[in-house]
This record gives sequence, C-alpha cells and structure tokens, in this order.
Amino acid sequence: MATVQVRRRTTKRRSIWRAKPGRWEVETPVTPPTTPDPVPGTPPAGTGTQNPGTPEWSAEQLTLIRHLFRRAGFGITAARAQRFLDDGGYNAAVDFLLDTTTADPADSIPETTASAWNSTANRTLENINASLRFTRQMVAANNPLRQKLAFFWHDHFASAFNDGAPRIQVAQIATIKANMWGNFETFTLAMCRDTLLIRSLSGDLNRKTSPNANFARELLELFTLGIGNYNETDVREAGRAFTGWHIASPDGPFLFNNNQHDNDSKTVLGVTGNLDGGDIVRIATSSTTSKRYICAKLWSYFAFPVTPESTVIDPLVAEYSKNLNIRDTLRVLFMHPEFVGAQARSSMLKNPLEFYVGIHRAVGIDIRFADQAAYYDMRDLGMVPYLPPNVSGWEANAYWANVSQVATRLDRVAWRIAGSSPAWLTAIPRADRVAALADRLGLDGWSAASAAALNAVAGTGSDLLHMAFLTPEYARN
Amino acid sequence: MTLDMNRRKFLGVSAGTLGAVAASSLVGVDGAYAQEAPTDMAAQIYGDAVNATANGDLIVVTVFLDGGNDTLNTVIPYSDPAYATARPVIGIPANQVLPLDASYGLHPNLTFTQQQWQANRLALVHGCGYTRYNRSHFESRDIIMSCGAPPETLTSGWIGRWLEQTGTDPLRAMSVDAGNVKAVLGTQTSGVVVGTGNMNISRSTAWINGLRGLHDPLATTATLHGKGSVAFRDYFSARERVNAAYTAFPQTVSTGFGRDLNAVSRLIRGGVPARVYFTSQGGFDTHDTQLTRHAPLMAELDLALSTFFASLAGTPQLARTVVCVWSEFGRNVRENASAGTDHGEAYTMMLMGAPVRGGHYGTPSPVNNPINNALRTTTDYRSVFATLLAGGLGHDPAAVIPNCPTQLSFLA
Repeated sequence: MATVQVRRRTTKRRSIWRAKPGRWEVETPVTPPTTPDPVPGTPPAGTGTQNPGTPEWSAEQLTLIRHLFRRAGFGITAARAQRFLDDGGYNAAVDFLLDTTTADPADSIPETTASAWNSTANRTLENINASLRFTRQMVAANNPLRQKLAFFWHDHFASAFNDGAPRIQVAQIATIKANMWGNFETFTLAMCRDTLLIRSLSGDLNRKTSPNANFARELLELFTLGIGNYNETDVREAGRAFTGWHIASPDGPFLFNNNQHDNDSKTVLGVTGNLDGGDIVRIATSSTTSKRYICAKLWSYFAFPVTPESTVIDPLVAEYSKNLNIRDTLRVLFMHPEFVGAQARSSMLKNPLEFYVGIHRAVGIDIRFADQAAYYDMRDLGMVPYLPPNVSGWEANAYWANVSQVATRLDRVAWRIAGSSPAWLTAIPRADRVAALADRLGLDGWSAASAAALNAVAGTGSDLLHMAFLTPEYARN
Repeated sequence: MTLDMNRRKFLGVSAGTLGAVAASSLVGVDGAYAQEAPTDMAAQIYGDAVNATANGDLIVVTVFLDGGNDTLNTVIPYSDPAYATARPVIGIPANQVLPLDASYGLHPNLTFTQQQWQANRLALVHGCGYTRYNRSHFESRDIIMSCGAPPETLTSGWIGRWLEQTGTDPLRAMSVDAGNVKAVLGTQTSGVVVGTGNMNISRSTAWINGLRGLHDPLATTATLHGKGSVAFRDYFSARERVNAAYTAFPQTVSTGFGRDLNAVSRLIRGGVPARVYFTSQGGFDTHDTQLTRHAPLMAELDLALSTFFASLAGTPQLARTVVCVWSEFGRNVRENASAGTDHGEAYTMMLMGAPVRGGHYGTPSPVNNPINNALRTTTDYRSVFATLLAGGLGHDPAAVIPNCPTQLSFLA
C-alpha cells in the first residue's frame, strides 16, 4: 500500500522553505478570533487571590486568563483577554471554553474537496491536506479547546496514519470530536470500532483460531490502564474478547465477524465470563486504576506532569468517577487552584504545534490547503497531526529543547511567518511596539534582556516578530 | 612509480569526477598500478596506507534505506533454486549478478560494493531482524531506531542515548539531510540535524547577536526553561563549526543521495566532532514494477558510496570511517502479482570501510523456509549496533541497548 513519503530532497525543500506564506489566499477568510457573548449571568471569578473589582484583581485575572488560553488553547491577545475580564474574568473564560455547542468558524473549514479523501490517485497530497485541515482548524478556532482537546485524544489514541487512506484518518478525528467531551467508556468503545485504529493495531488479524493480542495490549497499556497495571494473561484473554472485531475492507467500516469470535469463557482483570470487546472496555475504564490514569494524563497535558499516584488529581478523580464525564472533569481541572499555581505556570515549554499554531494566530495568518511548506515545517518541527511518532504519541517539554528544534524554528518557521510583516505591527509607533507585541503574543511581559534586544530591532516588523518568536518568554507555555 | 605516488595522483581527481566516471577509466594511467588493481577503485582508495583497527575511535556513518529494501535482490543467493522459484519475474539471473562467492552475488549495479568485498572491506550480516513484526513501516522504524528489547520500543534512539551518555556536545551525532529521526533522539537532548548547506540565519549580524544575547549565557539544564536557552547556545556553537566545515570543503556532488554522503564527507574532513552520522536514501517501498524501480536506487547508492570513500582516500579519517547500511525491514521472498514485493521481515545488513573485516556474519536466513513469506530473523539486528558501539565508539553497548545481544566480529 502507498505510504506518505516522509522525506524530500533538499533542493525541492529549500525552495519551499523560502516561499513566503500565502497572503490570505484562503478558502475561508480567517481573521483573528473574536469573543462571542459570554454565558449570561456568569458570576465573578472566585479563582485568584485578589478582591474582585480592584485593579490588582484585574491584573491577576488577565494573567490567569492568559495562562488558561496558553494551556487550553494556543495563546490569547490582550484585547481578547480584556473582553473576558469585562465579562466576569477567569470563570467566564472557563465557561466559554467548555461550551461544546456554539458554532465555530473552525467547523466550517472545508475538506479540500469531498471526493478527494476517497481518491487513491494523489494520496500523498491528500494526507498532507488532512494534516493541514486539522492545523487550520486550530488556527481559525474561536474556541481553541475543541481543537486542542481533539489533538490530546489523537495523541492518546495515536494510530499509524501513514498506512491509511486519508478518509479513514479524517473519520477517526471526527469520531474523536464527536465523543471526546462525554463518557469515556462510550468514547473508548467508539474508538475500538474505528477503522484506522483496528487496522493499525492488527485488530483485523485477530481471529478465534489465531488470536492477535496487539489491539488488546495497547487498549490496556495506552488507552485505559497504563503499563504495569495488568498482566500478560489479561492481555491474552482480552485479545480473545476482541476476536472478530474486524473491518469490512482495509478502508471499510467496522464489521463484527461472529464466525471469528471466541465465545468461550475468559478472565480479564479478575472478571470471568463470555466477555466480548465491549465488556473489556467497561471493565477497564471503570477500574480505579484507569480513572487515575486518565485524570493524570489530562492533568499532565494541561497543568504539569504528574503520575497517577499524585494527590493533586484527587478532585479530578472524584468528579470523573461519577460518570466518566470528560467535560465535567475538565471544569474541575481548570478551576483547581493548582492549575493556576506557581508550579503549573512554570512547568511547560511550548511543543512544536503550540508554537506553530500560536504564531499563526498571533500574527493573524492562515494556512492554505496544498501548502507543502507548511506541512514540511510541521514535519521538521516534529509534530504533524495525523503523523504521530509511534503508538504512544508525542513527547512533551524538555524533549523539544534541542539544537534541531532551535534550528527549525529559527531559520525556517519563525523566519517564514515573520516575513509576512503584518500591517498591524508597523502601524504601532516604534516606541510602543515591543510592549504591544507582548500583548499580542499573550505574554505577561518581557525580561529586561529581551526587551532591550527587541527594542534594538523594532524598526522593522519582520525583524521584531522573528526575534520575539524565539525569546525565552515565548518558548514557555 | 610507487603505489603511494599513484594514490596521490589518483586523489588529484576530484571526488565528484571520480564518482561519475566509470572505474575502468581511472586506471591505465600507470601500467604497474593497473596490474595490481585493474578497474578496482576500492583497492586504490584503501591503497597500502590503511591499517585500520577498531579502537573505539571510529566515525560511524549510517545509511538508512527508507521504505524497506529488498535484500534478496541486493545480496542475492543466486545459486539457491528457491530464489529463482520465488521470483520468476523480478529475480536477477545468476549470469547477471556480481558474484561474491559460490552462494552470493550483488545486484548488478553494486560494482563498487563488489570491489569493497574483494578488498575485504565488506561485511554482510545475514538474517538481521527481530521477533513479532507487524510489518508496518511506522512501527518497524520505531522499533529498530530505538533498539529497545522487542517488542518494547523506547522513546529515544540508540544514537541519541549514546550521545547523552558520553558527553555534552550535541554535535557528536548528526542527522544529515534526513530530518529529526528517532535514531538520533535522546531522552533529554538530541543530535544535530543539518541540511547539505550552511546553517544560515537570514538576518543581520546585529540581529543575530541580539538573539544570542537575550538567552541567558549562564543558563543550565537544571531547569526546564534553562534547557531551552542551553539549546540556543548549542545551536550557535554547532552552526559555527558546521558552516566552517562546509565552507572549507565545498560541495562536489549536487544530486541524489550522493549529495548527502558528500555532505558527510565534508563534515568529516572539516573536523566536525561528530562520531555518528545518520543519512537516508528514500524510495525502497517497491510494491510494484520493482525491476525498473530498484535498479536505479542500487546505482544511486553505489555511486554515493564510491564517491564518499574516494573523497576520504588519503585522509586520516579513512581508517576511522565505517559505513552501516540498514533498513526498517526486508521484503517478502515471493514476488507479488504486480511484479513487486510486499513488506517482509529479516534482511542483510552491510558494513563497509577500512575498519571492517570482510565476510559473512550471522546465519543466512533460508529462502526455502520463510515465515509468512518473509525471511526469518536469525540475527538480532541490535548485535550490529552493539558491535559498533563497543568497537567503533568505545562505549559499553549494554548501557545503550537493553538486554544487549552478543557482539559480532566484523570490526578489525
């Protein structure tokens, strides 16, 4: 089967690198996101340490809102943060992010053409466009948490996308987005019936007479329990329960093949009976181990890295245990005092995608379909949606602090995006530009060293933007 | 005329020219030489000056054949009737292979590689692989680049772990024109990824100095944010040295995979401290019309290797340089209905260079006894890297490779 050729010759690449980003030649016009009306009647924020209504409260709330949007989104401009402040502060921002129903501009970004996902003629380009569409949605989103959470679950259920047809890749993200706020058992069961996941974990080879436990192993190890919380017998028996969970064809829909299903008794995690795949999902997701595992993973993604044993996640586990509801758990997470505490605020570096999407949103430019330069930017940064490095997903934080990451950001990505030298920046009087740029990038300010270096190059918009993207302040998340 | 003088004369030809010209046209400039080594470029390169030993001070250049190279049409068991039976359309006839011995021959386009064999500088490690393949490019690359104990993979690569266990300068491992591959990723840092040209920054010197200045020069890796600034410091340090090497040794090959190995040669000769290089040639996923797709790839590889070794001839680094050719898996034994081959399992790894002791290693995987139509694994592929780590890099391989297999003896 065809694969995405993940490597290109340098001459080709070079010329692409040096292409300036397409200036607003977009299929859907994208402007910097605007704030919708907040939920009426939202009470003033309880989060924070200052008395509501005081200038100190306002300053603190702005800082917290910026932090929230760095983690739950891709940064926020000061102007937009001010609107949340006017609407009630941090709590209003949390309500907005957790609103799962309001229409969003990101939803209307088209697939390149509906038929393209089904073609085999130009699969490489279609794979690229599938990745670009997801990234465009992140850039265009009014409510960024929907995209960020979808990416989190894409990372969690990481599948070998490079062997699949684009339409089954796109279908998997659609399944994720349709299920990711609700009950985790329902969500996991939907994923166990996903074509790409079955195919990439050899589920279609799992037959009664020749069981293949690869799917069951990853279900227990990566999706529900975490490594070490089951034994090899559990894996083997769970594999038997998923026998016959096949797909109708390599790119076709889920198909339960009763002839290949093992209907004898199995014992998994202490439960015995004629178990099938749905039983395994229920047994695994309802265990205390899984509850702590999932809550720790959410906390590690949004706040700071912890293990499932950490007591900081106890309030999340308590909420999650009620009905395995992800949205309710996220509300507890964002309202947790430790989420806005000193440790959380100093514990993350931007991963390549947060960097890439963040600078697009800050500058106010879109990504175009078929823009291979954008795709190779992301690939060489190390994070392309639909192209996880392995079944356990992407790494975080210090993993990205290396020379190659600096090189790709410095002379490639930041250079290219800064080259658009937006009019809004040069319209600001030179003396005010550096401070204005901190506001635009969603930062709390600059160090003296950064401010001095930026002021020295503030005469040219692209020089200023380029350097700002590479500051220690912007590297943090 | 002495051999040594001849060799100097030989080296007067630029590496780029050398590679492009058929080996036979290089000889005949001197009768005595032609008698000693007719049409034999490898013998000329190694001459009599190289007496290499693997003393832990080698430079390891890895060539990754991306897509899964068809080992059975590369190192061909031409006298095995099972080979011809399995490949009625795409099999290479015995009278076309470049024979190595009574059992094996090379693809007809691997002329320089055959000379390496004749110079006793080509080691073939048969049956390299692991157990429990699922034959996905994605998963197999992930496994072999990490060198974990199968079936577990690690989040870091074997080169990356060696790098961070043995020093702080990230320029000791490099990926050249092959991207940020897992092989060079450590757990906390990674090797340096470069293209085949200078590491440019398209801004003024004042701008560049401003950027350097705003990252704390005293930052350490003790904190997360310190690591970010240390990466910038390392970048500028790497950039100065890579650009100096590329400037001192200009590009002589501008196309194909040869350009990538040419860049490695320029870095080696330019004194960059890299001890391990990762390079990659693409296009090996030959599911259909393999005969016309595979032959040019073999020619491109062979030419890149001949040019690379020729450019090192006469330098002290020649005796220190070993090339390792690997891939994510081999291909199926029986050809498919599209005159191609589908994803297989074990394959033959190749090692070449002055420090290599030529010959066959490992147990040949029987063509007539495949596993689901693929060659069975007879050799833990990690034993090759264990050997390179110990003899080549002077490092304890068990510190890098969990459950480390026994080393092989292909290093001199």
